[in-house]
Amino acid sequence: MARYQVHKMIQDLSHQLGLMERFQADRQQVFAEYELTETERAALTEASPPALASIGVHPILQMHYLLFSNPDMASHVSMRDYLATLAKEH
Amino acid sequence: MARLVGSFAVSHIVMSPQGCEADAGAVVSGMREIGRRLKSLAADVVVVISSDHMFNINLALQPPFTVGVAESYVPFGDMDIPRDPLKGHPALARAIVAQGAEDGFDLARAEEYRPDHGVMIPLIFADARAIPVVPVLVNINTDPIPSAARCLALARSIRRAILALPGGERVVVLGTGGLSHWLCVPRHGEISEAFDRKVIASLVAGRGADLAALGNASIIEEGGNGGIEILAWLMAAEIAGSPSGEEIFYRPMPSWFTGMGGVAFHV
Repeated sequence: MARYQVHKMIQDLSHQLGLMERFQADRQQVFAEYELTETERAALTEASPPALASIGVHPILQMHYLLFSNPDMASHVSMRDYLATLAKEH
Repeated sequence: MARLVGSFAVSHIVMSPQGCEADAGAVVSGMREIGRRLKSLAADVVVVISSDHMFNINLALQPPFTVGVAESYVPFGDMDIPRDPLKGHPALARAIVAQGAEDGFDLARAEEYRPDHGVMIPLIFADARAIPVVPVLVNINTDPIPSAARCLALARSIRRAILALPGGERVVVLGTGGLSHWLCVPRHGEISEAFDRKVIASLVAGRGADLAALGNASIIEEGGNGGIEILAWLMAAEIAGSPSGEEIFYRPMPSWFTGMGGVAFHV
C-alpha cells in the first residue's frame, strides 16, 4: 500500500478547488507540496499502471490518476457519447 | 404501510460505444428495459445499493456501510455525468438507519454525498432521476470488505424497514455494479463470462445464498476486484425476498473491461 500522502494527493485532486488545474500546469510542484519521495514522484510522473502499482497505489485511485493523466482514456471511460441521444428520448 | 413493488440488479457503467456498437446498443437497451419496468411500477422512492468509487468513501474515512439521509444529492460528475440534482427520501433513509440499529448495524449516515456513476448510470439510462432515492453504499474498496453474509443480513434489515414504513409509498430496490472485472490489479481487463453467467443463473433461480456462501475471497478470485460489486445484486435479491427472477440482458464487453448484465427479481 502506498503512503497515505500519495493517496491523499490523488483524492484531493478530485475535491480541492484549483488543485487539478495546478497539477495539470506543473505536477512536479504539486508532488513537492505533498512531500512525495523521489520514487513516488518518478512513478507518478510515468503514470503507467505498472509504475503506479510499483508504489502500491490503490487500484481505484490508480484509475483516478490514470484518468487525470490520460485524456484519451478519460474520453473512453465516459458517457458523453450517449448524452445527446438520451436528451432526445427522455 | 409502504409496499415493496420491485427489485432489480444492473451493472453501473458505460463506456464509448466506438468499435462495439452492437453490443453497446444491447446493453443500453437492457438498461432501458429495466427503466421501463421500473417506471411502470409507479415507484415513489428507489433504494439504490452500490459501491462508491472513492469519490465519497475513500481512504480518509472508511465506513463499511453508508446511507444517504439527505433531502437532495448533486451528482459528483465523473464520466461526464450531468450534475442535475436528485431528490432524496430522508424518511425511508432514517427508517433504514433506525432499523439497522435495532438489527445490529451501526450505519454511517451522510447528509453530504455526491452520487458517482455507481448510482447515476443506472438511474440515467432508466430515465428514473425524477424519483427520490435512498443511496446505500457498500464499501468494497477497503478491507475488511463486509462479508456477503453480513450484506444479506443488512438486506433483510432494509426489507423490514421498507415494509414497516408508515404511509403508502411504493418502493423499488436497485442493486448496481459488476459483473466480473479486474481493475488495476493482475488480470486487469479480463472478464469471466462463466462467473457472470453463474451469478445471473443463480439469482434468477433464487439461489443467491449459494453465491453468498462462496465468500468474498472466492467471489474476488472468480469475478475480480470489481466483481465483488455483486454484493449489491445479492442484497437486491434478498430485499426482494425473491424466490426467482428474470434475466433482462447480458453482454461480455471486452473493450469496457467488464461483463454487463441486468436482472429483475420477482417480489
